[in-house]
Amino acid sequence: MTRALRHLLAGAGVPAGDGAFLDWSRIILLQNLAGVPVERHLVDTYMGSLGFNVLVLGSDGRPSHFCKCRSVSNARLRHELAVLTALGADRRTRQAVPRTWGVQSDELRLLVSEYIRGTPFDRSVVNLSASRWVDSMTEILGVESRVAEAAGHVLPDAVDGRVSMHDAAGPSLEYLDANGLLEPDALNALEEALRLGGRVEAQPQHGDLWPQNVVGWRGSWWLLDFEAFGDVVVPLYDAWHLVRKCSDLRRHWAGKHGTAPELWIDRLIGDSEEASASWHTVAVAAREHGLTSNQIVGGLAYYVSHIATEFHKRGGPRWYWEPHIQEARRLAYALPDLAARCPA
Amino acid sequence: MSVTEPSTFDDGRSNWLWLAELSRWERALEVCSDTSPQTAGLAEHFRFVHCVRVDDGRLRREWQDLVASGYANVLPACAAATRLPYRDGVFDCVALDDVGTQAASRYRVLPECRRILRPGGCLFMGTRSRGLRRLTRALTRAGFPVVRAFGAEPSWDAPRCMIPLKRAAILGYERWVRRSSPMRDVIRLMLARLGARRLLYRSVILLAYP
Repeated sequence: MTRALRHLLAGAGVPAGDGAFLDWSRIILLQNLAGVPVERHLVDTYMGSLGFNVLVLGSDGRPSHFCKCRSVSNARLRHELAVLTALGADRRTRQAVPRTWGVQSDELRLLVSEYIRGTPFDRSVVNLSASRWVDSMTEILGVESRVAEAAGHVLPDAVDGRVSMHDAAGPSLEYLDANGLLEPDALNALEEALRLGGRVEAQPQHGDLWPQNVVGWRGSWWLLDFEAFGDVVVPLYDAWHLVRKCSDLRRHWAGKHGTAPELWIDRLIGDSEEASASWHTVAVAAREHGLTSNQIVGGLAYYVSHIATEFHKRGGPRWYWEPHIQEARRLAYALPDLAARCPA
Repeated sequence: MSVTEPSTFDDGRSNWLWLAELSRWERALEVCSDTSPQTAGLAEHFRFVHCVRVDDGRLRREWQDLVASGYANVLPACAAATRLPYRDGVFDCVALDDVGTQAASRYRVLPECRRILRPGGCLFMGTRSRGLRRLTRALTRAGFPVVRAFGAEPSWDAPRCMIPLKRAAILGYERWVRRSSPMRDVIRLMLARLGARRLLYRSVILLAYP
């Protein structure tokens, strides 16, 4: 490996084993999505915020560290490093986020985390019964809530009073409208749901709380990947994201034996055991934040419009962003059914 | 975030350079029979990048795009890979892209690459894993005694993952990665334990050193 990467890893305290530096065969390049340094024509694009990751193997051959490698100018990695360093130093979250530190050279910035060896939730969630699934999601959201609370103390800029759901979703709705992605009546329906949601207490959200970023280890849930932490402060965003991604995975793994509808919103308004489990999980999270049923639906409208916008902005092929637009459209037309399904 | 990123987002082709052992980053050569998305990446790392193509018209368009993107350090040349128009030992790095798909031409190119590579330089090759042993022997014969092989997933021209082809690394990777069915995971772990590299990874990236 290059002298720069080798020295950075040594400087980060990654044990080299027998030699002075890590052997080439102990470095696995993962999630290699964009060149570092960023190519000039990609600087201001989504691609420009990406890079590659590295899995470092210990001398016993087992993964010991996970490193994110990005250009020195990468603001998202700097943000994640600040968040994880602060949370890792707080005793309330020491058992929920991996110990993380950073090193950098002229060209490369590394975020180095201790490798969490447990079982990622995306592996276990597909085999859980509905009740065990609810328990697990509730526990995970409890951990996420603890992390958000701790962030309020260690990162004072992360939280700022109350937030209007309608105002927070404004840029997303404008984007969907300007790009002709949603029809005016669908946009009006979402807007109305957001208006009914009113104002809520801001709470920093993880922003990408999907099962692959949750690991069960030593009897605790560990959260990974804090790049988007605090970008969203509307409560229940993480809850809806976790419920939705779990539901997608469970449907996918059921394969041809499954009969669940393709769109998540259709599954959510159904009367299946899975739908009840989803609503129950969100209701528990909502109770913790003292949210009303209108605010639960408002949070859902915020979530689907935000995620549809973010995926479309990335500029990938149609199959990449279209399902999110379809979910947003489906939600807009299903809002009357949802109000009946939503726990009081 | 949360779904598999589409293949159009694959732009990390030049990140293998972080795994290469190079002490000087002055001059690189990229030899490719078609347009390569690697040139800009190389141009970010090296002071000068020479790119050799067979098709003059395509080369001209590609070069104009690169210059328009701000890469004035890219120098094009139209030539056959088996007769490269450069002096001996001038390059710190040679990247052989899809020239490697035809076995016969691949073997003829290797001595030429060795000739233009300076001592301490590095040759990159992306190819299929079939015939890896034979290719490694050909590299040794051509003057590359040190060859480091990486499994490339899903392929060498879109290497989302690069796994050193050593048993511990393969096992470490196979334990980390999650596939579409648990049965596939089990089978692949068995193959990893047996050291069946060719069955696990269809594509390889080779870094060879003179």
